[in-house]
Amino acid sequence: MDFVAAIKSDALNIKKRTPVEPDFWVLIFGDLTVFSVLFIAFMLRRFESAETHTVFSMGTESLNQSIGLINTLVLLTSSYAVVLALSYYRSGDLNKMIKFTCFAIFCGLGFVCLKIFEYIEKINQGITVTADRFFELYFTFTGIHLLHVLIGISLLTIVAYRMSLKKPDAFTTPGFVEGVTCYWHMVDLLWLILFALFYLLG
Amino acid sequence: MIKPNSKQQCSMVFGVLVLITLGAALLTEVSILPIFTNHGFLECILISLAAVKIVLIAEYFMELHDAPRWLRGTMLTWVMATTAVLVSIVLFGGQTAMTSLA
Repeated sequence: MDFVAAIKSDALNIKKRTPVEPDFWVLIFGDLTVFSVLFIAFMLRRFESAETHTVFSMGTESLNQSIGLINTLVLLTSSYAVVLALSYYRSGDLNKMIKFTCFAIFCGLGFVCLKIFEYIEKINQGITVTADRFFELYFTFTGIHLLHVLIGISLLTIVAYRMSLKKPDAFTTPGFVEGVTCYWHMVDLLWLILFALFYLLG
Repeated sequence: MIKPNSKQQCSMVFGVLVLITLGAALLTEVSILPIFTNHGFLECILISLAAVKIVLIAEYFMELHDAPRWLRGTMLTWVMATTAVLVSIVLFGGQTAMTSLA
């Protein structure tokens, strides 16, 4: 059985419909729980007093809303590209799968570039992690999320590279590929809340 | 045999996600409308819209809509619990903040 036939066979013969290995979901839910605590901490600080509420509102207004919106659309697009890549992986069209994975990586890198641009813009304005309570949380939370994006990009790159070799190994199995795509969607959905909390709540 | 999501279905979900994102961004621009003068109303809508987007991603992109009940239930519980706590903080915390301002 050749590589493509093996992948199609593996991908279409998973009896249970649990996307990804159950162990992987422990990692996903662990991460989601940690971020939940961060989101709640942010909101509690925001409404601690009238003074903090004003500081947070001013912080939101000083952020570049356009970059935040573009970054959200970029991550949504990359998530959609990953969905298509997984679909082509299952149908055995590996060339298209690699193309869409590379497009998702490109979008991820675009997100990273815009985030770094935003950080530099703020630092040039004299706003750093110690500026006030809002920016302390802004740099910390978006920094942790950026780390997740970088891990996701690395995993997608590994998948695309291993697929291009067309040799079956641990990085080309349906379990690993689905795991990486699920991780990337998790990174996307965490950003959706961060975007609402930091950029939209005025 | 697994039933992968159809591309058409995922394309529609992607379109809806983009529309909700643009709609949420637009909402912050029209927050001067009288309906938004109630403290916390706009914040609650924005958090709820983010929750809707998360459910769509989880259900269709992460393929949880035909996953086992425990997995789907855990994800939905996480989304609903986090949203409920955040909205509660806006509603009750907002009142406290405004009281201390007065």
